[in-house]
Amino acid sequence: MLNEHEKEKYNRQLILDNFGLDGQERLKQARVLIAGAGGLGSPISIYLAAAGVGTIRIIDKDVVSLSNLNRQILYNKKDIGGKKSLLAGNKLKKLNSDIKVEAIAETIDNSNVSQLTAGFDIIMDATDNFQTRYLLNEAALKIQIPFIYGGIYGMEGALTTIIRGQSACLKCIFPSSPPPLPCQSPVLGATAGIIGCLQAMEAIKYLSHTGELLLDRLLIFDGLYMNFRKMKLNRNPECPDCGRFSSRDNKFGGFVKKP
Amino acid sequence: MNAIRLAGKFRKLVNGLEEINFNDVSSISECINRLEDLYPGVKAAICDENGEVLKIIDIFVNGDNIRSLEGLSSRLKDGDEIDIISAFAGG
Repeated sequence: MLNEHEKEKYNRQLILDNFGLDGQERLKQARVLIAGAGGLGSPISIYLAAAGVGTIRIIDKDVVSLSNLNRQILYNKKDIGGKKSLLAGNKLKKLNSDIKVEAIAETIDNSNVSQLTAGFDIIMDATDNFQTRYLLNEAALKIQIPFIYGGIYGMEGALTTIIRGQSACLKCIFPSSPPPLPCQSPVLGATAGIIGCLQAMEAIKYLSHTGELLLDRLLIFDGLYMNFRKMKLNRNPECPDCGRFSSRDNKFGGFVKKP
Repeated sequence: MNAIRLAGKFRKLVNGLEEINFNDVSSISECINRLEDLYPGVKAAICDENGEVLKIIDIFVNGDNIRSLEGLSSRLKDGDEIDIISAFAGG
């Protein structure tokens, strides 16, 4: 149950249509995994913490460097050389002391992905490579939780919400991974902010049972010319990751709404 | 007329243009060949050595993926809009 302090703190979202005390209570009970504490992980974690998501686990093995600071708004100059996950954890606890934050300084790989994702309600993609994204996509399908993909390049980006049996998965959309980006690939901080905030919005909608999810749609943002476009996605019946799951094979009931 | 947009790292191949417009283009493969005539290097970025679309690329006609249409043979009519995107990998 929400206490009086929480009711006041979250008042401005509690009065949203179709959100209410129930929606806030669901956020409080929710456990969200954020894979990556960089450009996307910064806005995702800040907005989910501020919104009152009860438990946030943030995973990243990297340390902060000077060239991160144009977009990784969890950190400042004093943080350079420190572990991102631990710094992020401290920052998020200061931002909202009523939530639980777990910081894990590990690389997500085949050997630990099941253990790291077990018991969570949703996985937020804030990674910078497709090898890890495919692992998380598979893990989310296996334990029947949503995976919110986001990716950025320069002043452009894209996102979609993936739910087993309800939407195309990452392998349906991109059957093979692009080569890893060079470390010097271009990116504007505001691009990460826009895509990360949209991912956070999807998570809050899902967790609070509000609105319609971005299922089977890839939203593409073009900041250079300020266009948003939605592309239709289709499940690949022969997808190696999700082809075997039927559309009836989901545990989400009636609140998963498609556009 | 058909509008073609290339997103992400492909955009520099077309000099950063928001979109390219062609008249009387009948299919996706013709569209790619005409792009290649104007902007050499585009075809090699989109297709493999056998001329198939790379699996890291998605091509959409009016928002529909050509994998669910007729692939490179998908027909185009006047006014169709084409989006060519590569997976966004940064985070």
